[in-house]
Amino acid sequence: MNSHLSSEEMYQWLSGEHGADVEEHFRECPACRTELLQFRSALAGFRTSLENSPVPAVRRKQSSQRLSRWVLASAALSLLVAAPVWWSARQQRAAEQAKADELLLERVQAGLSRSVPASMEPLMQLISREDQ
Amino acid sequence: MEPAATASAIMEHPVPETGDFDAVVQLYWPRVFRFAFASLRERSAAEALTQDCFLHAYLAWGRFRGEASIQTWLMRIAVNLVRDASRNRRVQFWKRLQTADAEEIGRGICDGRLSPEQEALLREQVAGIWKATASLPERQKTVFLLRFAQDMTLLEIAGATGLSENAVKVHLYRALRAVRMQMGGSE
Repeated sequence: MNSHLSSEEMYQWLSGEHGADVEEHFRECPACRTELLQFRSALAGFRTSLENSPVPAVRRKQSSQRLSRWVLASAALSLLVAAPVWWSARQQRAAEQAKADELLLERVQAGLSRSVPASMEPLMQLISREDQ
Repeated sequence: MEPAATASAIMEHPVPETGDFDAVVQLYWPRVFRFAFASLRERSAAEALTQDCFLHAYLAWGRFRGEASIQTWLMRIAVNLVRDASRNRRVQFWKRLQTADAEEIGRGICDGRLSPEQEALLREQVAGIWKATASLPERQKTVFLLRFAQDMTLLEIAGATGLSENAVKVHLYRALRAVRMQMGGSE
């Protein structure tokens, strides 16, 4: 039997990449076996310590695609809410405009229906008083 | 499909259906997080990196052809993200060493079969491994963590890192030598 396993042979054994000769030495040499088992145990302990440390719950990060989908949906919703308000305001403005137009038309009609121009009306009133 | 059955199918068959992505997240989230945490030593950074990893995976899910196993594919994404994060955070190296909560991590290795002396020795050795891995060069650390924290084969590690199998062995042996020295052994 060779004296002991070299470092590289030990690393091969720990990595599971060793040959039959290393395995045979491992079985027959108590010193190498003890060292390797202790090292393997520490590596297993390292893994266990990591596995036993708490893992945060799954939290999803929104992708830009999902985000843009949300942005589009929000825009559509805003449009749905805003459209009736805008339409109502537009209708109100149209109604006010129509009323103003009607008043103006009434004034024009009144002006046209007079027998004398408005500026002559005071003079006409004087004449009518003298006649009485 | 039942979640357990889906998980089992994903483990056995590397080509997934798009609808299985949720099951992939559930199955691999802890593994990716642990790798990120052991690499970065900071929970919040590891969690953010894990989210990024699955976001990248989600966006690339349609292009996944199953040439590698899902674990290898996800770990390749995680390895790249850790490398980028480490470059950006190199100035915070000492902060990372301090924030690595060794006590918290060490609590998880109680083993009822060990005597108190053996358990104390094991804790000390595990703490030594944590300390040694913190100062390993990036590639050695990645290869070491994928082998001994993720239990991946050398071939899978080669797939996840883009290194040849021989290069993986070289990095792994160097990492083991550094860890062994930290634990008080010889080269």
